[in-house]
Amino acid sequence: MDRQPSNRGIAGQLRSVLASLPPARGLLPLIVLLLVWQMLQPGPSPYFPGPLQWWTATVTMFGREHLIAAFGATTWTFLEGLLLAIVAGTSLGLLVGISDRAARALQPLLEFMRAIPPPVTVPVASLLIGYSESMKLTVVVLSALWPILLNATSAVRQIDPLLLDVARSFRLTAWQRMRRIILPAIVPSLLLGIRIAIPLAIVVTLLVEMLTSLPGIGALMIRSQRNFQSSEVYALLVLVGLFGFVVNDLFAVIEGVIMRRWPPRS
Amino acid sequence: MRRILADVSLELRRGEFLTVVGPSGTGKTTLLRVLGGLTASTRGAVYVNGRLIDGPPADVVIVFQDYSHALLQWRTVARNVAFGLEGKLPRSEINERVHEALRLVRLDRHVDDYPWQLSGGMQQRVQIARALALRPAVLLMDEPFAALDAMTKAQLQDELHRLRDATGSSFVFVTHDIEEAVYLGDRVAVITGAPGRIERTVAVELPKPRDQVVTRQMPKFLELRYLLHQAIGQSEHA
Amino acid sequence: MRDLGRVVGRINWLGLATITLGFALWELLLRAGFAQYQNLPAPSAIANGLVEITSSGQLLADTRHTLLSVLVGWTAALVLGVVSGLLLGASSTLRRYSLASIEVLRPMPGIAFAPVALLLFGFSLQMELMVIILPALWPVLINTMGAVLGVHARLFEVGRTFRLSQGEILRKIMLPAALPGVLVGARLSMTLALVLAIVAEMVGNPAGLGYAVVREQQAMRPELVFAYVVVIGALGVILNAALTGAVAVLFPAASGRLREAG
Repeated sequence: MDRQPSNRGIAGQLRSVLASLPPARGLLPLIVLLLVWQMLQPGPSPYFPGPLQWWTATVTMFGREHLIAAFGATTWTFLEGLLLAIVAGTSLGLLVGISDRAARALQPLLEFMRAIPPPVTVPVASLLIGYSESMKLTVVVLSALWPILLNATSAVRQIDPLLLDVARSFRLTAWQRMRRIILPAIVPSLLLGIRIAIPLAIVVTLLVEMLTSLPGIGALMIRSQRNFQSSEVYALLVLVGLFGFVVNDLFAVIEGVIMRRWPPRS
Repeated sequence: MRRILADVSLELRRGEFLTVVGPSGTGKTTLLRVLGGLTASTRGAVYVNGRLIDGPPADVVIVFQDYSHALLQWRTVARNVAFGLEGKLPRSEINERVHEALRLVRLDRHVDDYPWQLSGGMQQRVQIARALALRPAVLLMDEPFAALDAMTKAQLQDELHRLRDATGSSFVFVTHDIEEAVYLGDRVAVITGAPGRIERTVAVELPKPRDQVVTRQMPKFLELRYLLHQAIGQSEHA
Repeated sequence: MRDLGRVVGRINWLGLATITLGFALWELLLRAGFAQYQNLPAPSAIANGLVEITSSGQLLADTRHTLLSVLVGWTAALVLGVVSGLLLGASSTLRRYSLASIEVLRPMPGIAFAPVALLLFGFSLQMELMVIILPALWPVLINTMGAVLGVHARLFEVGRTFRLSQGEILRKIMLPAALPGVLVGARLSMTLALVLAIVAEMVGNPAGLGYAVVREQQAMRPELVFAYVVVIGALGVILNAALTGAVAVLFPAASGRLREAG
């Protein structure tokens, strides 16, 4: 079994993520679709404007200053919410994972919260907190929280009891045990939970913006749709898609850098 | 291009139990696959009952080492054993053959179980039953007991002898275990070297029925074992 | 008597106690006027709300709409996903010329399709379906393709050794072997379809449970908002259980293996 080099810096990680992407000729169907679309519908249209129209719409929106600000607002909410969810999810997950009592006490509540689809929390939060940035943040945090919390909990439970015996035989304090054994042990699971939480956070961020018109890409999309600016709507769709794609790959790079000390997954 | 086997010449007689023994990487599995028609030889030919084979022959069946991947885990034991006969015989006869095969391997009480409910040894017996249901002229077995524990292995070895006596099929049994090769075989072929060659073939003149304890202590057994060790070891140092 | 003891022992008493205590506290705080959250309804109010929407028939109408949307969208996603997954799993050429496109399209959040869907279909069921189908098909496609690719090579060799025809190998070996993976994808897709339907109803088509939540929120009826939230959660659980049950009935062998795998 060959060992991977453990000194993988960010550049190396980026390279390996790019290398693991499927062959570029797989983009052919998309390119063909766009070309055919452009040929069939070169000019503006209320329903199916061609791709070039999307580009001009992007330039227009860019020029109106709205685009960058909106992107900034969405990205900021998303990141802030995600980070808070990571901190909260990890700490709560650890608590529930370590303490059997806490686990059993909170289990029905957790199961219930897990069954509720994140988007549903948006109107509830609007009701309780009102239309504000803090409501927006709250909803994103709540939505991204569950996968991280649940993964942290199960990871703690699945720590090899042998490792805990090792901690005891070396007489580690509770804090040392947490820092040296428990936290590192749950990192892979946490990363998985974060990977699941990311699309949830994106969706909820956009949803809030669409429902409340708080500044962001979602608000722009709804506004363009209400003004029947079809090219703008399509353009924003593409931009959101690109955003999602970039975020996912960036996370893959970060994940790779963090995980380079772990044995490669089979 | 690497040559895996070279100058292999074998003859198998009716009802004979031939074991093929040798260290890993000498092409034992490849030899079996060529005999079974799964892999084509670049040169040379295989004849079964005088006919040149082209792809897997009808009266030859392979029993693989990894039983869990070789059985259809979503079918019951009975339907697994029936697998090779479907569409080729009327339903009633298939049923008869399935039950006969299962009785031979002593699994008739597990007819409706699923493979994943059975132990490793039992799953391997299901695979053997599946092969026997075809009433093949030849069973090719690729280290079938290597993944099993010693006790199960011993049981299945004796069972295999019983099956050979009961069915009259010929067997080509590949293994890396010298003792197993001597215990089971009427003849032992030694494959060594890269590319693999049949170093020598030895006739096993031990009394039948063979016994795990008695036979393995006989001087003739030990002599053969020594001989085979030498044959394998010598070419390693050559 | 001993059996009863065993059942009693398995109930999560601590959890039950905690949640009952929580509800009681919630109710008491609101009644006593200690917590003044303007729009936070007491559990009793939520219960009353549930009764209200059930008896008025509103709940039934909303649920029926969402259910229709979910089932139609999910079925379409399932069919498209399985077919494309099988094709992609079987042909490496197809994979080479389409995986990159899939990787680009996959991260697109379903909600981003809502404005386009509104443009094209206005307020209608089709609008919801457009939001549901594409994102819900990815789990099916990916899992089906993975399942086909994951069929152990040995199984195909067994097929050849017993001289099965290509059609027989497809029918008797590949499809059954890939089935558990397909079912996993179907389950993921169902959960996703429900969420997408709700989102589509919140942001677009004014009908169904998603719209109901927004409607009651704007009408300042918090107890009904919470009531609908409970219903939505329950619907998710029921759909999942129904699917698992259907699988167990239709494919007893596969669900056995799924259970074995844990």
